[in-house]
Amino acid sequence: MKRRWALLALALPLLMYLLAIVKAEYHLTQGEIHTFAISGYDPRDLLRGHYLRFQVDFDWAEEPSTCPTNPEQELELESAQECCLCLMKTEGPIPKVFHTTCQEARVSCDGALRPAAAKDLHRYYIPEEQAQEAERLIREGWADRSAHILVSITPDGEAQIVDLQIDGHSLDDLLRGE
Amino acid sequence: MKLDKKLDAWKQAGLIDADTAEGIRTFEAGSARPILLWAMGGVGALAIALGFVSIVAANWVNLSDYLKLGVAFAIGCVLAASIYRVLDSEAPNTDASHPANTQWLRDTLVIVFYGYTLAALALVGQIYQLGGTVGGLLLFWSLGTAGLVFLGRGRALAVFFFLGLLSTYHTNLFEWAETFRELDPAEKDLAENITVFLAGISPLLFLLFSHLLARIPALLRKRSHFAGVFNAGSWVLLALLGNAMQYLWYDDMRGDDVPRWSIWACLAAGGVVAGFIPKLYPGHSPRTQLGMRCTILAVYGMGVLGAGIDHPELPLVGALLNLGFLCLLAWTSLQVGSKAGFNFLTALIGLRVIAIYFEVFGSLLQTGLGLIGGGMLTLLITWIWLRKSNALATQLTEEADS
Repeated sequence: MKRRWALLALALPLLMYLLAIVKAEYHLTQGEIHTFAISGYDPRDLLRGHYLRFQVDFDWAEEPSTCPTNPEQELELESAQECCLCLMKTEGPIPKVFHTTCQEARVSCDGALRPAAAKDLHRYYIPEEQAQEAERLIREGWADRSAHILVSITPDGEAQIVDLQIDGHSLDDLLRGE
Repeated sequence: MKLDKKLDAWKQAGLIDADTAEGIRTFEAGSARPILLWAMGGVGALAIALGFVSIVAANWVNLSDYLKLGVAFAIGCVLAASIYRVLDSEAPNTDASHPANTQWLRDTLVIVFYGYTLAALALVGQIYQLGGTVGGLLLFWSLGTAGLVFLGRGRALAVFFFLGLLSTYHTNLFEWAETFRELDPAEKDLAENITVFLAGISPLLFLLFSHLLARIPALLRKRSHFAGVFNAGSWVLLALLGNAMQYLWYDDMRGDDVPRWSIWACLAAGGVVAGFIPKLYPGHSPRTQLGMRCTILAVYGMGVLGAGIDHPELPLVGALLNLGFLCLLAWTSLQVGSKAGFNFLTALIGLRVIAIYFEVFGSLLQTGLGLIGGGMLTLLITWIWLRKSNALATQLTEEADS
């Protein structure tokens, strides 16, 4: 009995580690990749520890929003029906975005992004040794609006960053000199 | 070395004979604990655990992601297998030649595995660019390692477990509070009050948790350090919270933005726990229990005085309340029989009095009044100290003898 308990206690941390990997991999297999432009919300301080901070510049459509943007109205609505970002593919790589109910977004949009998931898209982990180089590259990318993130979005609206690209090249590859 | 000197002095004073001295020496040698070994083990294990976290944070670009994940998993497997092997060697039907050493090794490995798990989960978050919160990561880690930590027994492991749970609790509370900005005013007020209440009563929750740990026979028998560390840690938290209450007087507390009812709710919770002190500490004297009750009530009472009612900025009131609180803590330490705690708090009281001198410097009138007030306070404390010192010294000696 004691041995079983010990085995369980020792296996649990390893199982949680594997579970976290499997969950992240499963997300990538289920999700569809969408591209968004990014910019720094504090241009003086992009680098925080070992990650870059940015905000997503959504390409807002002129569609009338079927979801209230007023926070109080949104709260009232959330209890009945959650609000999502509807992503509509365009000829270019970046989708047009507008607010609608999640139910509507899942049926009629090319992708539905939950607002809570969208708020989490604000940092990208970078190697410590190339942090300054990464910051320089991304500053240049913002200057000519060529900095983008590739996001895997699942049908239920969860998001996971897949890559950060400058002018179509992966930041990780650029840092490796590839 | 210190014991030898004392035994020689007692022998020369004719208090004990040579046989008794030798008997004491043999007994103390037999019951001595390898404190240095344990301390070095704790420090080494912590360094390795922090090393894992640091390597993950460095995000070494030269290794591929899958290789990093694979190496991390392999390290975890080696650690888990090592701990299992040590546990197996301690089983009753096997001949463990050095039980103290295997216990040391087991605790050290468990601390390393505890830290490694956090680093490994952070690695997954980094590689897959997961946008979750630090609080979420800590919660996942604490849940996953709750069973692991109980495979160890030592005090160092118990301290790390306590700090891990404390960080998890307060980080999640802080991150939850960050989400209030999006709420409407009524809900924001309610949420802020709940947060202040949960943060305020955290020492009480940890105190009750320590007594829960002490009531589990299996834990008490071989892991009594866990309950002891959580109990001591809760009282340290309570003392720190009480110490922080003085700063409520360094700000203007008039207005509707102060979460009022939660402060009163904390006092009520403190009152309930204070009421249960005789049941929680049945082996302690009534004076010790009184000291504990007064400490709890003083902490939350100062909270109510500082934030539960409107008042302007009055730093001197805060400083004097803090001085009174430190005196109460010193008295309680004395009742508990902690001479080191009493001496430490006496030194703190002296430093706090000196700090008051600097705080009252301002205009010439303020400085003059402050210096007179501070000087009188210093003389009063010295006078009380002189009057009581003989009685305190006798009490400390009796407690040390007993």
